[in-house]
Amino acid sequence: MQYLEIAHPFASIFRVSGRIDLNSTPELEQKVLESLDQGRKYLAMDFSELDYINSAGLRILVMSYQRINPQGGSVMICGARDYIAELFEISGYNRIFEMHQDLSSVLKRLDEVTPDQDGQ
Amino acid sequence: MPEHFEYFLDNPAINLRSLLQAVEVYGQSQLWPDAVRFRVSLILDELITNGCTHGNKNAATLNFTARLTDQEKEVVIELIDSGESFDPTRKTEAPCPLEYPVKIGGIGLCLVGRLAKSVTYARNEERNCLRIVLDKEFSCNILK
Repeated sequence: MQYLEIAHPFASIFRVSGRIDLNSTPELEQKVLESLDQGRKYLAMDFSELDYINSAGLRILVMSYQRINPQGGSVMICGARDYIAELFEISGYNRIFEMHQDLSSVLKRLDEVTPDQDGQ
Repeated sequence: MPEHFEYFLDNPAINLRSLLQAVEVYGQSQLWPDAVRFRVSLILDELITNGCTHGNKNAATLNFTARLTDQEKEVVIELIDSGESFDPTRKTEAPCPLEYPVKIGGIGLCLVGRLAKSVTYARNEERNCLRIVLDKEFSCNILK
């Protein structure tokens, strides 16, 4: 697994490639939660280069959701290949995460949410 | 390439990745689409990880045998383990309510149950025997 954190004024954005599995989950979980600890309530994951994710990886997203949803924030997923997006559908997580086609769609959505409106 | 694949896995906490790599190679040799290779790997990953985490008090001796049979429209996955008696077909209910707080546990077996065409369990000779049938044409019609 490789990941890149993309700078954004008030959202945590990660582009993750390769495999999110039991071996790689702890490192990603730490990075995501550290980023959210900075008070950010939007998490965007660009999965356009992701080959594999299992329930351990999904757990990171749910933990993040549990943290930021009560603050009015959201978890956004973009670019997922069909067979990975399928997991969000069959688990029902597509109903609690925002599913986007690509990162530009996520950025457009974040543009609609100014930091001032969110009190950040 | 053979239509059958078999892999004996001891020390699964360490060697699971090797099994999944071998499954990937086999799937490519059988010309399975990305989605089928992903689903077969995910099912094995979730079931073996679950078996290592739960229902096993003697991890040092836990082992699995994974068999795949490639049929025209289906892949049959057989997974046999030496762990304590555990029937995952009783644990496949949806874990994901629509509102906060969202339950975290149980999603792995939920995914297995929903990806598979059928999952059957038997306890034979003190081993858990799972037979999972996966439809190659399975489609969820999502995000189009």
